[in-house]
Amino acid sequence: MRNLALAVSALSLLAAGPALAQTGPMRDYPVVSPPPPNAVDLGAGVSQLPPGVVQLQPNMPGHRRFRPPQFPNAGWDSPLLPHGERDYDRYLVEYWKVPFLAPDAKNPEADGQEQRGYVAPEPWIAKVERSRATPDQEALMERRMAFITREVLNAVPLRNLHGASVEPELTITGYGQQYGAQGDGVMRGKILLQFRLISPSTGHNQRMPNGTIKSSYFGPAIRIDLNPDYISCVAPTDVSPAEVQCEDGDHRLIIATDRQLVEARGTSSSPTRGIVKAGYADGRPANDLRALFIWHDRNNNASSQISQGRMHPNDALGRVIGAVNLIDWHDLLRRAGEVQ
Amino acid sequence: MSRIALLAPIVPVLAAAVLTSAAAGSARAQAYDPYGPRVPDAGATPRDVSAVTPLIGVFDGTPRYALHPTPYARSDAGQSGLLEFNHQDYLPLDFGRGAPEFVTEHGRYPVPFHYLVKYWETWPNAREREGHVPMLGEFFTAIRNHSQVTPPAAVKAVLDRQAERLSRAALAYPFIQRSEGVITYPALEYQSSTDPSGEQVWGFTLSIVMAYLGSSPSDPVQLPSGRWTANPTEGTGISICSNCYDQLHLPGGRYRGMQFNNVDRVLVDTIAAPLWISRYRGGQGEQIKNPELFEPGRPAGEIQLLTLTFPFDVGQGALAPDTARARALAIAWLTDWKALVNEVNGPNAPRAD
Repeated sequence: MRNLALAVSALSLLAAGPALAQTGPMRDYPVVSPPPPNAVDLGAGVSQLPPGVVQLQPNMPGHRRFRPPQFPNAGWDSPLLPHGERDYDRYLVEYWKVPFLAPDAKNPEADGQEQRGYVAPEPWIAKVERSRATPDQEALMERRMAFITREVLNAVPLRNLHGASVEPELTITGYGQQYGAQGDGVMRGKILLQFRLISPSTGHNQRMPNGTIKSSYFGPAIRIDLNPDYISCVAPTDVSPAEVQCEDGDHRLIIATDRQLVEARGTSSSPTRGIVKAGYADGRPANDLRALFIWHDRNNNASSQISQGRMHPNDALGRVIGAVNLIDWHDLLRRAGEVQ
Repeated sequence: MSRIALLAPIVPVLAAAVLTSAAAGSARAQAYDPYGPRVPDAGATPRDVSAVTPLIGVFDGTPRYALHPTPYARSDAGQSGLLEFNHQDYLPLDFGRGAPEFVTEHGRYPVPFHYLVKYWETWPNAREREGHVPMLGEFFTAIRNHSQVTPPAAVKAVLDRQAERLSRAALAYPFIQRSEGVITYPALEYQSSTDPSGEQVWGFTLSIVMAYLGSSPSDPVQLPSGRWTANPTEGTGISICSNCYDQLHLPGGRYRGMQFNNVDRVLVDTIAAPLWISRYRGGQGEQIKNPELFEPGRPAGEIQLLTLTFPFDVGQGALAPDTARARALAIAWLTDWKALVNEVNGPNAPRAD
């Protein structure tokens, strides 16, 4: 089955080779991959499938709501992942490697996507929990977190932000409690990049003095946990000893320690990965960055747009997916650890 | 074709109209910017208080108002005839927008129970509504001690003296001594409280219990004194907690000069340090209780923090003033707890706020 899937993948890559590479304005691309032979369009509300049959999905040719993708190798033509699922995000990542659309391109389906978004300038004042950490430890952690935030916001998909605004939120959790538990002596922190969509009819929109728009409508978020003591990791993939990905890369743990930090948990049918807290008991300085957990969310409507290959890369979620996949997190973690 | 011909003579008129409307339209288009500043709301229309139920007279210290002419004010408060009702909104005149406001982070809100406090402030000797047959329950001033813990003897003496003074003040009201429909008695429990930084203080919980005669499984019995007794299972009242860290609420507004958690609690403190601090060191985040709340070095048992819980639910202005809940609520707000705390703490203690 897996061989078959790989063969299909190779076929689709051949069919949509470099000749189809897109450089101009967005247009529709025909889907060349056939839907599964046993797929049937059962209509809405059918929960019990007949045996030997799979549901025809809206991104498969022949579905009543099918719309062709707007990028080559997108939608149902997306390359296959090792476990047989299609990598629907791939076209967004490929786009952001070489972006060619104007950043202020009008998108008739998303008013406000052409507007420059407000990005709160530095300094980003961190919120510091009342923990047992010393002011020096907190100050160094804040510098390292600001470095990571700066690098992430400088990634190509987020550099010239349009269609969304963001105010980075840095929280230094420290360790232990001011009056109470001592903690394990490992500094922890969280970076939240909550993107807020610019939509003229939704929420509060405010034009800032530099012409950018500060908005309030909830969009996707990039969350970065430094030295996490808990991770949410469904459907894990052990990419390497130094990286675990969950949910096809929506959550990923970057490890910069030789000690065992991750262990298998859950059941054989629903495996997860958990943090081994003893992995932090290495006697290194509190501020050393041993691990970094990056995760982002997506909503269902956006997911269906992506699986059809029709989400505009300038959409906030398109930018988030591009940034999370294009940043070299191992290198970023190493360089952040060198900040003094 | 003929329609176009017919229209031809009015085309210049139309064009002129289009021109003028285009000018007005462009002004409007200029004024409208989806990303521009927002136009503030006009605000609510003022309340019409021109028509209210008239006062028929005061009988035996009790006011009697005419009932509202429509069936819309049939709440218990409306039926009681003890309150001035507004014709426009069928609510007590001193309820809702007629009440003083307290300020929260989300805006200004009227104190919901103001009309009851004002009623008992104005008519402290009032009886019940017209036609009501009073059933006055037993009234005790002796404090029932239900304590599970025993403080050191010196501390116990201080706590007893404090509880005695507060209890005497709470029971001094004629509308409480009347004890209509309830058995009234004070109850006391000592306790010690420790804040997260480890500072331990002694305090007490003093309850003014008003137990409903009607909740007794056996029928009430009339005593030779004329008062009624029973074995009530339910009741209302107020609960006064001295030096209770757990009872400290989050910051709220003020009513009648006293700190108020905006729901059900009065707060009096004699603490110089802030009662609440920000969750994060830099001042961001929500307010949390100060973990170093209690001041070391204060005399044992001195009231640093006094929290008073009262029955707050007035059912959108439907609670009538001659109910036990309304009387309990009136104790909470008619008593000057700050002066009482200053009195029991002595002249050398920090002043109450």
